[in-house]
Amino acid sequence: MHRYIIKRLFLMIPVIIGVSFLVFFIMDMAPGDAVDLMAPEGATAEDLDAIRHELGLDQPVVIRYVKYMGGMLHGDMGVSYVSKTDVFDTYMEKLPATIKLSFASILVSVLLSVPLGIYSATKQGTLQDNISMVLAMIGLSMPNFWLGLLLIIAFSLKLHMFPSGGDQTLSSIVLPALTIGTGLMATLTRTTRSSMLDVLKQEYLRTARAKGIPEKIVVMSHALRNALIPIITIIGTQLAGVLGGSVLTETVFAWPGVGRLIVDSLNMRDTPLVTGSIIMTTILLSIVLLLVDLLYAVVDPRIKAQYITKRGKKKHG
Amino acid sequence: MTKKMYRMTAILMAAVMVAGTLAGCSGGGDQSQTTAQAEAGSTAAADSSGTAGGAAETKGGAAGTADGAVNAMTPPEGVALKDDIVIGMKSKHTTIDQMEASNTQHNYMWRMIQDTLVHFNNATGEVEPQLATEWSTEDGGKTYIFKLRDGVKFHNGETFKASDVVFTFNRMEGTTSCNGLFLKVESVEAVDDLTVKMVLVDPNLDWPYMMTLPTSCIQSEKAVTDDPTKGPAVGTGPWMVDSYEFGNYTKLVAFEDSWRGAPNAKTFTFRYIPEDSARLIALQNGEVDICAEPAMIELGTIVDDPNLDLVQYDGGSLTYMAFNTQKEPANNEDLRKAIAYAIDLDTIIAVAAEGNARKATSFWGWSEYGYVDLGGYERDLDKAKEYYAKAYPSGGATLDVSVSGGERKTIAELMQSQLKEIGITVNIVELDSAGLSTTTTNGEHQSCIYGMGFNIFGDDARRILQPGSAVNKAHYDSSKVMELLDKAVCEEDEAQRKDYYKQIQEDVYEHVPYIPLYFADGFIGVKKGTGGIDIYPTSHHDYSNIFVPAE
Repeated sequence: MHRYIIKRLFLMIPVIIGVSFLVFFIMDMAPGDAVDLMAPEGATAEDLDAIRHELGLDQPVVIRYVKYMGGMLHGDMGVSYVSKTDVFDTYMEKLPATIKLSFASILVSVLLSVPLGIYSATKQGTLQDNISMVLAMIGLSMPNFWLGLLLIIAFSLKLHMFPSGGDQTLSSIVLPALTIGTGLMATLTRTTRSSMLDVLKQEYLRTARAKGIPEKIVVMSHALRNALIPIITIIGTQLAGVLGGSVLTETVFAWPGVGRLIVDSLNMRDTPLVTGSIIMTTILLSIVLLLVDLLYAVVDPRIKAQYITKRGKKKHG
Repeated sequence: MTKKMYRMTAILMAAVMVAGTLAGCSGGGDQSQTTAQAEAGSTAAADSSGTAGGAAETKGGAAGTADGAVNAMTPPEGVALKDDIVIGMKSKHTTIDQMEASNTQHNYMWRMIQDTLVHFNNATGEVEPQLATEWSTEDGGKTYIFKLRDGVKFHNGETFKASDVVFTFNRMEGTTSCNGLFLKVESVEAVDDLTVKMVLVDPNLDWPYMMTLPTSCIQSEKAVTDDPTKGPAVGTGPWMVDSYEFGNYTKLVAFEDSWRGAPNAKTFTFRYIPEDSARLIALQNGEVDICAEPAMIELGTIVDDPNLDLVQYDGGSLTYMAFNTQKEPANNEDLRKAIAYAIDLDTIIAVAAEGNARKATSFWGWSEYGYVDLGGYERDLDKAKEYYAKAYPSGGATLDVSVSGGERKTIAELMQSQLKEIGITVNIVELDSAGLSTTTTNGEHQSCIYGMGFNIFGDDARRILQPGSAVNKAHYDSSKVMELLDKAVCEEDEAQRKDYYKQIQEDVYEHVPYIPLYFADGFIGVKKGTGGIDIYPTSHHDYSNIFVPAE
């Protein structure tokens, strides 16, 4: 298991190099640079050149990239062109808000989708099944931006139940989490349903029923555990997705997270901040996906056995 | 699935769709209502925009608040005021160092936490003492002596003195916002603790006006030396920075020992809420007390809300069309003239600015020294066709117009249809702000729609007319104009000086490197009874004395 984890961690290195290379060069190719946006209105060409020189932007992109990666090796992710602050510190300042929102959204999604998917599977082909699927589809069909505004109007402006945005109080998270959570609902509900349908057809469940075990226990205890692998995969992927930042939701709810940071810095052509933030997000996503893979072993003893067998074979071989 | 099941499912889906449609209709109804209200607000704005004169003033009574109490400058007696004020901002703060950013959202902050040597009084149009109590000039505007105010304290308790002014001007070198100012100064010297002597590279009679800009705020030498990150925010203004999170919020607290007197509240927080509707809802909800830059379409909502006021003012930002005079086809003066006479500016203002703007009749800020009303280019299709025939005898001209989206894209679309009437084909090139800024600075464009906020002093036009300047989007290179600017900036005879500026405006009018379009009105949504906002036409308002009635 340890060897597997170390191997996966090492695999992150080429991913980081690839991602940083792409981001750096694409940023360079895009029209516009940070200097034009940073400079005051009255700046002359000489002023712009002075700023460009100060930021090192007068050097070829390859040299800038090599310097940047050299700094990375020493743990230096650079300094934001715009705010003049350390990129790592800026990213870490925004990360807690994104983590908080991501887990809250996943919680909403799981709480709504898994029961709905299970219920739908046990009522396959009935009206209830169709209603469940329609509900899930509605969640998917509503754009986050629009749903977010609707929720603000309903629960903030009209009912005064929650704040319209920001991250000041605990209740601030409810509306953005609901917005993202309902968006994630459809995929998770459908995955839960189809996974449960596969498992519910298995012979061993018929045996369990024949033994007189109540249907609730058959479904919740015997069937659900075996249906969990695809569900965990989807949850893991969704978590990785929202950790990367939910730009639209963060914008509507003025949520000070990573997604908005990346988009704002993209608009300002703040290459160090964009590259650093995306590298950090890549590392974060790789770790989450690794944890998801490891979780398989916890849920399914057969997978755990595979890890152990591989290690045993290598030891003896 | 049985037939009955299919039917039930169909009914269910139909019900969902109907519900969705009703919800959509309901939303649409709201929106159309809002639009209608906005139009009502626009009418008021259009009516009142004609009253604008020299200095900007707040238009109490505009946009449906007939009691004239909008943005009173002193709090009413006997009314309890809020201690904690929050403003919802469309744009974010990226720094707390005035030398690194100079734009609307940052200038709000600089005006609150720091002071300049002299202050521009919007009501009188005069330069007044601030950190300097008096000043004089020698050598025809090349040397300035400023006598400083005694007993002024910085937020860190240090006493303000001449060495802080010297330190501030020396620190400007190489900075993002202040390097331009630094380059104009030959030397700054502390004659004694309360006297500063500045020698400029070239004589400049506008220098006192330039000293009123937020880029000229004075920093504390000790604070910056002790802490280069937070020190630049230590000023002498009535507010001081309490906490700041990049791209999220900046919280200010009152500085009770300010020489300007204590503010009317205890804290003032800038909150970054980029989405227009969310920012307005936060105002309606009471989560913020001020909604900066409300969307045009939502002005009616503010007007209609009994708990809110709409502050309206004549904006000093000019929206213009720039032709790249160094590149085909826009280097053809007759083509530029044809376009100038083919444009229907009234329609553009009515549609793109929803009527909330004043027509620009000269390429000069209306509140800028030396402004002359040249009447603008009145639409005249015969004249336009005549110039077009001279420029393109066989027709077939095509022009790229670069824009960044929003109302400027609307302007380009309107021009596209208007210019089609005389046979010119317009291609709209849409870029994001960064892309547009760089391509137009580098001269890769043919023409563009852009904007600029003019300051009050005449020489401010230099930056948009000087060859090599990043904001000279026309890449206009006129030795005559530069000569006139150089003469005007050191001309002590006021009549002569104004004549120079008139000649410059006439030159631009004649050669059409730019077509001035309009000055959009500015708006601020506030809680009812809010006041104390010192409105600047450039939108860089001073919120130092703001007050908001308590609930």
